[in-house]
Amino acid sequence: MRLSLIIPFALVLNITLFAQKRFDEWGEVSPEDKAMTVYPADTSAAAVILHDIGSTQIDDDGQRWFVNHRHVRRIKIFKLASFDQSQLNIYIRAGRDGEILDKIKVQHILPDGTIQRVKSDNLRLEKVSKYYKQMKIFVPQLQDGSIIEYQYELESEYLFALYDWYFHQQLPVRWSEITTHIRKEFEYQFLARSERPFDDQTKKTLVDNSATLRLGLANLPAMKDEPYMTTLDDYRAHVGFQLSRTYPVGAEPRNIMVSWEKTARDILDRDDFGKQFEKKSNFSSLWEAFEPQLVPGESPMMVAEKVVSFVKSSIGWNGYHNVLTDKDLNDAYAKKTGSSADINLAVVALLQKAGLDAIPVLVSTRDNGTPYENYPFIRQFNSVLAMLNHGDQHTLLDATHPFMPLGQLRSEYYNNRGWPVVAKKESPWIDIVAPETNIVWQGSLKLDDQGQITGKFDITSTSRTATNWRNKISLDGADDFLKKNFAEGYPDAAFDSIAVENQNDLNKPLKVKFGCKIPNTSNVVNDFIYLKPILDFAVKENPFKSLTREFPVNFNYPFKAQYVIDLTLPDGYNVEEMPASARIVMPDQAGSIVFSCNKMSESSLVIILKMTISKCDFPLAEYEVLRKFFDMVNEKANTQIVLKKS
Amino acid sequence: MNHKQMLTIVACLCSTYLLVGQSQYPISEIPSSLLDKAKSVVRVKDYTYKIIEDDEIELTKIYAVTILNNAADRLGKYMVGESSFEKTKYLEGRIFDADGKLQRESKKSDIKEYGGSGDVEFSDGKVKVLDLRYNQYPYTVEFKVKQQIKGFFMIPPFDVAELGQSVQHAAFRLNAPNEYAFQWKGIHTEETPLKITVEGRTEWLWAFDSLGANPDEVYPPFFRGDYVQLVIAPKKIKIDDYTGLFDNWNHIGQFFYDLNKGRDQLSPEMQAKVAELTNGMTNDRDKIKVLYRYLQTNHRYISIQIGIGGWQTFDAKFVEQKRYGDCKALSNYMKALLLAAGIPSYLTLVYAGDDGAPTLYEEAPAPFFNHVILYIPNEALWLECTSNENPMGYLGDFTADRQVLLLTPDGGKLVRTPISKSHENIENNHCSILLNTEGQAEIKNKLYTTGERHDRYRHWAAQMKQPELEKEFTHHLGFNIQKINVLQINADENRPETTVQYEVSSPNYASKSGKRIFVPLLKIHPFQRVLPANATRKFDVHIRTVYTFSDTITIQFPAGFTIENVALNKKISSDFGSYEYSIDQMADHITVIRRLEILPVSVPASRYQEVRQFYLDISRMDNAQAVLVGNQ
Repeated sequence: MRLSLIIPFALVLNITLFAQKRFDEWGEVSPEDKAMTVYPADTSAAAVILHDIGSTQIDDDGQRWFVNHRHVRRIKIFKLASFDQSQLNIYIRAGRDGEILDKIKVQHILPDGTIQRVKSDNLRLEKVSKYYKQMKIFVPQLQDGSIIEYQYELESEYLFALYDWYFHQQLPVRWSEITTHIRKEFEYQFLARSERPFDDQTKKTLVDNSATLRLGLANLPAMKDEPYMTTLDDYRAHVGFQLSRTYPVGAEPRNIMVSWEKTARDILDRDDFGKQFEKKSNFSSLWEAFEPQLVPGESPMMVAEKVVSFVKSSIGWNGYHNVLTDKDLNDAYAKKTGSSADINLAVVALLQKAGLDAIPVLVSTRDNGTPYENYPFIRQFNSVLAMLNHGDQHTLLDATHPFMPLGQLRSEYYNNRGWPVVAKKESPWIDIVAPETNIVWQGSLKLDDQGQITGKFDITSTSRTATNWRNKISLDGADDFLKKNFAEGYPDAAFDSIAVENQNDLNKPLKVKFGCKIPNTSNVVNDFIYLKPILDFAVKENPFKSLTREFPVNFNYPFKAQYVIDLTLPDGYNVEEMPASARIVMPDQAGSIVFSCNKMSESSLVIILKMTISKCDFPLAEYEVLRKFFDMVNEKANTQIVLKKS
Repeated sequence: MNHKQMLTIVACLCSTYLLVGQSQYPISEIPSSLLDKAKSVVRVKDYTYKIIEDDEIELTKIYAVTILNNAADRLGKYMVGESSFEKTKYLEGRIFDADGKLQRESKKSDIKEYGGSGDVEFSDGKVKVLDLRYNQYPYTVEFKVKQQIKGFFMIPPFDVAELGQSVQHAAFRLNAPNEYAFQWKGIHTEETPLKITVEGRTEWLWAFDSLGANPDEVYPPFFRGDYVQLVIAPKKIKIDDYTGLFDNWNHIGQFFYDLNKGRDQLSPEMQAKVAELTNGMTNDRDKIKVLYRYLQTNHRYISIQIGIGGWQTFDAKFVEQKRYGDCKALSNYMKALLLAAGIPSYLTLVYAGDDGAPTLYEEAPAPFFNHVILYIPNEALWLECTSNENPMGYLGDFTADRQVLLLTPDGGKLVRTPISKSHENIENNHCSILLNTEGQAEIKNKLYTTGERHDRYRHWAAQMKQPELEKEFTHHLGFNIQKINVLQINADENRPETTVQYEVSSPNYASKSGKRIFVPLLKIHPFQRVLPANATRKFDVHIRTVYTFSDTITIQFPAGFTIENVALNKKISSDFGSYEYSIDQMADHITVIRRLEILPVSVPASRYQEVRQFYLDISRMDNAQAVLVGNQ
């Protein structure tokens, strides 16, 4: 048997032998652990996982092969009041490749050292969905200082991928290890991902030609979500295994999905993927309904436009991301609803049938994690897009959102890279780059001596913002949309002559034009008016209030906001003090703020505030800069101009 | 509605179902008056509840609704709960397009099943979901469901329509043996039932016809969307071998009292423990306090949704051994602890939730409860037994101010939990702010809170250690900070009070512009309730969240700056509360004193604008600023 390793990060192998004792045996607790009242490495932790020990092996009973995964976990609780009991839940895969839970043992070591066996009437197995079940453990007499340990085995006949092991958990982990034992009849590829070298990495080939690999990490911090990130899983140390080859006795070795090329061939061959767009009978009703719309001589993009809007109006998104279709495309069309696979494979099917070069692209959504390109595991993807090749260009297509312009994607799909499904030697990964989203306010306004502003506004938006607004306008109407989304700080604002342009012309910017009357925008005191000229802006408060941050910041989109108004002053007032113009640029042009306030005439001003965030990823080291940047945006958006009666 | 009209509707409903193969539910048949303000239109909502036995019922439901746009799309999904005593006989649906043409009929394989429950819960419940959302608006879905419930059942109130929904035809039918006894009450409707008796069984039919859509408005005078509603209350019920008379609240209470009787006995060891804990105490209140604390520090809440409708509590010995339980079990256990100390108490049924509770009626008593608390009559004390944090006697907005049913040895007593008054929900800032020439502020504050204003801080203090607490606190502040020097929360052990002391520095607290600094005066703690503009308010306005803010904020200027302008003293008073702001100007500092009292509101729709204006006026005052000008 063989194991081959693919390592995405530079990983220095730790060759020192791990000689010391790695963890305590079942039921055996060291005096230090017994006495521990707080976890020294993380004093705010409500509990710590003292050890998390996994072992996976392939076995046979003479009839069949199966995978056995054994897990032992020990948790010490310091503060029961804030301990999340779901840390004691065991998740079990259900359905076709389901697992069987067996040999579960739970015991509770009380602070005084008494060991209580937790009996089965405290365990509850629940079926959650078609895909998984969970076992909940309710430990009697749980208290501060309790230690709980449990062990169980999961058995499954699904050999293709072994149990995914995550080293980091929601709680801090003192020691986590996974041992995998592979029989000589199999070869697995594995992908190990860790920011730092493993503390234990032991690989042994045994005399019977089987092999074991043990990976261990010590002192892992607790991991909690933060705003503006993709998913925690992208940062958790992890190892996954996928079957690459079998060595049947007395037969030739058999390759199982070892390359992207082979992976592509296999999935294209599936009834619930490739066959859906290759076999016309799977999408015949769609095609019959669509075909009459085709006109000879149209450009590929014109056809794509028609196909996407036809699919959008024919199959509504049911809220699920999927790589494989539920039934066939005709069925989704009949139901008028389907997953991302049903919808976007329908786009592929119609484009291909119309004679164009279109293929599916597999993607992983932001909350599903970053896929690895040297890791031909189909399971890392959870959704699919369509791609049209025309000339030497390609355009990605997504028909899951009714208000998405052609070539733009649902926001969760902007997650770096995607894999076009083509059976070629070179895996042609493509960049999936979020288009900048922007908002422009343009106003022509007049202030009166009571602090009321009247005038006209045009607001233009593109990309994600436009899509969101179109959706809101279609649900609430333009009037309600403005009330809820414009000048929120001024609940007295009244709007008239509201006009929306390009609500349905998705490829053009969305424009909302209106007249407004906004009382009490400014403080009128004695002979002074303190005027706040920025009535609305993209940033209402600093999104980064937290003083500390654990993970890099990732914005879904680069964005730009621009507020430009001309403002006529009330008769008899002069500008007493005007805020200074400012231009602030982040290092590497990653973001900028431009603010200016100028006199156009004696009685009118032009005020401009622009901000740009031109990249999506900000490493941790730039967090403080980013935080200050938004503070400054906020400050500028609250600028005041001092007017005085002449 | 008179008798004759009623009959026409019955006929009309029946004929609708018989027209198979023809166009059904075309949009053109909806009167235009029913489209006004509607996101969806009930075409037919016809529920038949057939009583088989006192503990067995069969529910047949037909629900056809036209979904006008995607705001009502969720109605295209139908959910049915199942458990060991609720079974679904069938669940099927059909989709019709705008012209009423049948587009699709559901198949068995379209039904998805979900189980499982929250993290700290165990239940045997499952949900069956039939998702017929269809991407061509408008469309109509029609669901047909039959369920059978064996064991204890309650007839849920029949909601004729949700807000934003109009109704063409709705009907509720109760089909039962002639002698079946029940009480009923129509809420926001005058409809009376039509009675048809055939062969020993009677069908009571309430019909609702052509009801326009009602707007979904903030602070309505009724609980959630319960607007036009029918409450049915059977006079007799049965759970396993227990039968009960449900004709009035006293009997309902008696039934539940008897159901749980004798389950409040502790083991001899535990009785000894109670004696030890209360040893030497002569005052009942002291005993209650020590026993309540014992419960809170040694037991934890787990929701348990199994067994007969979740109405019978686990024995006290179960909690004694496991040290966990649900609301019934923990309340019952607390009752047992008190009993061992010679203090009588009553289990109390309540509908919990921070947005209020449904109204309970004398004329149609139906036990719509979801939670249990404990009442100690001799001390007039209420105990929430699922909280590890609450001070003794504190309920909070989860269970305060609503009707509850005390289970006493003499039967049920419908009483109200105490309403929380504005002076019981205090937030009080005593703050000093030191500004520098760049607008940075060094802020020292002592924040005292009570009642509903204090829960958050008590919870933080109980659950979080310092680093996490600081993070949470930073998010909660209404301004950005750069550094926390001090942050300390003290939660009073006996009273619902906390004191938060903090010292932070905030870089852009005030904003500098040229030679001026603009200083917000009440940024520490502004009033934030905004009612949306609404020129056509329909419902009365009913607001129950009340409080008093009383703040003293001293702001020290940087050297060389003087006041150019500052908002002047102001007093506002109205039926909805009062506001008083005064400012004391000194050479190098100002002191702002602000007192704000928000009273409960219960006024007709015509006064909505007045309430709104009062809140706007306060918000505007709370936006007040001082403008400082440098003298160089």
